[in-house]
Amino acid sequence: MKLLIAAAAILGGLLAGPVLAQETRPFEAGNGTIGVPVKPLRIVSLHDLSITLPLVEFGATDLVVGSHGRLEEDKVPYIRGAKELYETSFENTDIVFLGVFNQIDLELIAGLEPDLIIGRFGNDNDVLPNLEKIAPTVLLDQDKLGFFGSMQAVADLGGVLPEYDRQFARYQAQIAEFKRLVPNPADISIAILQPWPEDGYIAANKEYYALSQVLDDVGFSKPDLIAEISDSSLDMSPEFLPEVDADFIFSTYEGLYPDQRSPDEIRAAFEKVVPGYCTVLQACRNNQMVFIPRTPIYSSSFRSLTTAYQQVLTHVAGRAFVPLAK
Amino acid sequence: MSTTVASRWYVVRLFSERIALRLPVAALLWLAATLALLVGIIAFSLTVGSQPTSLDEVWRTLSGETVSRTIDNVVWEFRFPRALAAALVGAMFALSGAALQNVTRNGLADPSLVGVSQGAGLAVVALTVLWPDAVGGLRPWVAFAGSLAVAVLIQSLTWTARGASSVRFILMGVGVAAMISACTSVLMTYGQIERVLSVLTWLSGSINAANWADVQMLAVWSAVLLPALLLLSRSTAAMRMGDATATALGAPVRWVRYGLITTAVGFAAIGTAVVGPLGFVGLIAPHAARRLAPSGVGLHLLLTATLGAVLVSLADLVGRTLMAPIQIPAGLVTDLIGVPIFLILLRRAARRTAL
Repeated sequence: MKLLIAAAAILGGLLAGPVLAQETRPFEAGNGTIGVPVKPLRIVSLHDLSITLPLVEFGATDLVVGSHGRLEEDKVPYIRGAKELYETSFENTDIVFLGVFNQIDLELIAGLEPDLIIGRFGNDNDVLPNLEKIAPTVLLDQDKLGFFGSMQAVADLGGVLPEYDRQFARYQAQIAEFKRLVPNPADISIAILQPWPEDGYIAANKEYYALSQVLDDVGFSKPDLIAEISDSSLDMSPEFLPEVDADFIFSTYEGLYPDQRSPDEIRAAFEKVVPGYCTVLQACRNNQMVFIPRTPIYSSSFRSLTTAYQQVLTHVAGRAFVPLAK
Repeated sequence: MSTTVASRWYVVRLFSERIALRLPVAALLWLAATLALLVGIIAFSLTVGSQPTSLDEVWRTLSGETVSRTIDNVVWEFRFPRALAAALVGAMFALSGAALQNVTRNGLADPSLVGVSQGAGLAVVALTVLWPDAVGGLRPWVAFAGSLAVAVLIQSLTWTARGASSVRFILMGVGVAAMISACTSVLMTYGQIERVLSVLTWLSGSINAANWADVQMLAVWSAVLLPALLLLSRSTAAMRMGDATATALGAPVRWVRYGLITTAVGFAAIGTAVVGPLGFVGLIAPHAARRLAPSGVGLHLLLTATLGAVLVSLADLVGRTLMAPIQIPAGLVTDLIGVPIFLILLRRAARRTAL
């Protein structure tokens, strides 16, 4: 009997060990109040752009043991955003590739023995009961948190909040500088448009991650049709193209995707959706249509914000332009 | 209980011969073989995966010993419930197909072909996109309601003054399925992207998120629906000879038809609610069972269930390990296997009926 009690005590001690080893604190997440480690050492991220990238950006790369990723055309996995902005990849770090969107390998996560798992509320709810068996799991409600709130929550969870605060202050200084250079931003309208010729529509984007964040923070206006969208974007029939004309139009290209690899390919895509589109849009007729690379301005990242800021500053504040006739 | 073994039949006599069953030995042997195969696949599933585990470690874990917390989690919390969930949903979709084929007397009936799975899919997608906070425990009931609504719609559209036609049932089903798929697409197109993405994997039939609660639900519903289906098998056998003959033999045709449709919908809806629509299992398994060993309705249902379980277990095992860590949904694998078989069956049917 004594032997059994001793064995049970040892077993209990072994099981409780990892839990007792770390000090925890409550964290308000989309899935409730979760007890998370004060100083996590092994974090699993279930989304590259919005969770892994901020952790990399705030200097917590070494804490990330596994991450969701994507596959390049040759099936090599990569961490979107972290690869383009920080040259951080599965090859040059100890971060383990866990699978692609919504097809994450749960037992691989278990094998990594994380002390914290960070995912997205809504997207990862189905696997939450499984994840909770492995480690404390925080699902961030990114819709409610917003762009900065989401990054701040990730930094807070990763124990790198001071670095977030430093970068946020720097970003606010950039915005203030922009407002000094462009004192009347509300008088300038900017649209973010993306042609999708295969589906026959043009996406009019109200939200476009870092790029739209910079535009909103500076205080630029949008064409009415875009400003009134309740969602983040509108898949617009090409006939509405004149309705979204603006002083400046931004559109992006992405080297990873076929038919979107360069500004010329995006121009060709516009042409395919609306033949003669450039004559329809005043922004295009006056060479005020700007084509920029997508991922660097698309991520949840201060480097993305800075890149977007510089692009917008160069094109909008840096040159004279023909305003759209009201 | 007394038994007599003849050369091709195994006779079971129960309760002073008040119940006597004559079972074909070949079908019994196939049933035993497929059950053994299923156990083998589940056992193999427990030992393979991204996290290396030896047979000894798995055995010790299953014996109640804690080898490590990781292996405990991997074996007990992920692989085991996943393997059982795959087997159970496979059996459920297969039985749904068999029940639909029996009630329509059409070998091409399948829950994913006649809109029953799509009905469940639309209901769940609508719930997820329009009322995301209400998903949780409502999902099986909403799926059941969606499937049932589609089944009732197809039955009412099929039924005419001259009775029901199985060909009409299939054609109506295909049409309604297309309409429902279009509605689902509309919701997916105009729903909020994050909500839409969260149901995308479910729609392709993924068992990745299965846990013990799912296994419990599937097991409970199987325990309710399978006996009900087996109870209907005697009358179903009579209905194979046509409604008039079945009525003459004393079978309550109308009630049996309702019973078969309800159980078929129940199986498909519960399976769909847990893992999403799994295409063609309900088509392949009953046909394979028929080809392997012709038998009475009851034994055919049992063989169909085990074949469905084998098929989905195998599909999930392939999907889980082939491109790991990427998890290929089992539904995609069953579609890859099912579509060629469906075309072969269609071709044979066309030859027979000169369609």
